[in-house]
Amino acid sequence: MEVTDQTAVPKILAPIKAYTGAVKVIDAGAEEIYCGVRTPGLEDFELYRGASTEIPTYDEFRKVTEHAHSHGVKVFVTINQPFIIDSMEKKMAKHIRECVEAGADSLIIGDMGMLQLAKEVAGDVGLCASTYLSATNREAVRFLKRAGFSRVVLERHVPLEEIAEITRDADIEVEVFVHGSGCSNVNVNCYFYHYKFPAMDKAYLGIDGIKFPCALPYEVIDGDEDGVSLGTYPILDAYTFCSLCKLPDLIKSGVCGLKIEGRGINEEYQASTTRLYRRALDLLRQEDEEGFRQLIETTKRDFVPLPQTLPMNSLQELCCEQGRCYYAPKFHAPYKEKLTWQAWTKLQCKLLVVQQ
Amino acid sequence: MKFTVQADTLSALREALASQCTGVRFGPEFCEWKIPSRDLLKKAYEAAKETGKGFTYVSPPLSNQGIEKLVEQLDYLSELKGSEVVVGDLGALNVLQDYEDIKPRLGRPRVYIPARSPWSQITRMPDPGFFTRRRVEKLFYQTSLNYVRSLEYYKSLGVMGADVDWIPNCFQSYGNVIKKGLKLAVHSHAVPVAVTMRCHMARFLGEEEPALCSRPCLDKVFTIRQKELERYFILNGNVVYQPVVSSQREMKQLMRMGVDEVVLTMGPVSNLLTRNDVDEAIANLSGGA
Repeated sequence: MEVTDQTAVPKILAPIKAYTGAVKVIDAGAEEIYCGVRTPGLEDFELYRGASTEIPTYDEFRKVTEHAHSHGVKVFVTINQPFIIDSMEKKMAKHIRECVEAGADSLIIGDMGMLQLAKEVAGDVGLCASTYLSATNREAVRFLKRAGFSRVVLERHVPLEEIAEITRDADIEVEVFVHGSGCSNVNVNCYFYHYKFPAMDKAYLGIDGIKFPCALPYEVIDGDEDGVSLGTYPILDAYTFCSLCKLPDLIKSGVCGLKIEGRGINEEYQASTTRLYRRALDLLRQEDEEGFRQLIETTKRDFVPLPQTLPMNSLQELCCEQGRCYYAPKFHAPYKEKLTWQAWTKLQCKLLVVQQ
Repeated sequence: MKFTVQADTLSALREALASQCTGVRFGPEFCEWKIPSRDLLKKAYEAAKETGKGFTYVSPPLSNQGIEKLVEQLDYLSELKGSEVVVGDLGALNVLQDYEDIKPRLGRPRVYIPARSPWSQITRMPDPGFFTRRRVEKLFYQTSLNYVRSLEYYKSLGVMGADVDWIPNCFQSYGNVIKKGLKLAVHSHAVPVAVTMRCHMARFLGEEEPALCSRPCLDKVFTIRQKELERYFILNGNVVYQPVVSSQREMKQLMRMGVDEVVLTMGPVSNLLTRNDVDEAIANLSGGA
């Protein structure tokens, strides 16, 4: 472990969805926060997350920015649409202006057209490229810089070693997601919207909280519909991710921000995860190798940050997937053995024990 | 109407070239691990040239090493003058800015269409009412190219066309894009609902290294069914598809909207495996055109 240059330690970006949450995550050590703000007139067209994950009013958002700025914390607002069309322009332009006037430091933009609009109406705020723009290589980062962005959030699927390569070549700030439920698919190319509707509620075993269609067990049939059933597996689930153990590598990679997922999750989760990463980064900054190791051990034993999601996800939260490897080989479902979904879950328990 | 056939392998391309199609596309649309070598690309281009059919190179979303492979391909394609390349990645579009002789078009990964969602017809609200439902549906049936600033931005980068899906409710919005000067090619048979870089099929089958992957996706699909969601999908490699059935009536609508290219992809998803399959599909679609 070697983290000597304190200025190189990246900042923690924490998610919030309310003023009270902002107070908690800042108290927990967030150096930057990000949120959505409800867009008047488009509340019923939130493709992925829904209005409940957003700060409901500009007045409350102003309170957030005032509190954050008084603690030296920057506020990023996600302009939360992966696309915009002509008929949405007036509403989005007004929304951007309102957010900037209320004190947003930077806008997270997910569409090149939206970027053109933001450049025209947002004035002097920072522009951050969302994962919706799917930066997975150094040329994409160059493209986004050329287009006018000042920071890029890499797609979650970029492996650790490539994060370092991209960051080394980039002359723009690069940020990465470090912890969360993960996305099994590339953000902008996933249309499994996390909707809440009756069929989905049944499918999610009646558990309240985040809904992930990709985490569900599916019956897998070899070939077309008339083929042989191979059993039922969460075949689309590429699992949650956690970067705690790999923080030293992430710091060395030169990323500027470590982003925690969870705008839609409760404030306790937002604060506890922020606190955990804060502690870890502080230990690394102090070069306290033993303290860092102990923190990870304790976390593996005690930390269950997503109690309201599927039991499987709570379990997997303890497993690290920092390599963000393409196939996550440790979780292979041995196809030939025809594991049941329950057996697969047990297999992961075993892997967890081995890891610990 | 042009019927173009997309193929990932040389053998599939040769089948396509022997069919009644007007042009071919070569290269993987979604998986960078299937990017052909430069030699293979050369063979594919020469095979197409022999038949006098149009040739378009297709590139997927890319990692750093994928970009390096792409540059090799582009060096070759630029020598041919006037080549078309479908880009599935903004990094690829950035690289293409250095190649004046190559015309880029946006691939499906770069065009956002909310109606690709399996449940796009359902609004978030429990009881939205008729007018809200209609308004939200209208938004769902647009594409990210139905915004003048997006369109003009991409055109300023030399983009001359884009790929979209066979979603009849979106045809009107396709027409609006075409009126503003971008050519559209419509893919038949299947709509990509989700694309991953953590290949679901490879993980399930126990493949361990992307570079050593046995490419089961070239001849295998899984149907995946979620009873509670009342949906089934096709899993092929790193893409989850929703199958679509195309009709001659819809084909006529597309032509009225100004679409002049339909793309048929060879492989297990479409079940187009031979020249006869392709000819039959073209005949079925063009019968009413």
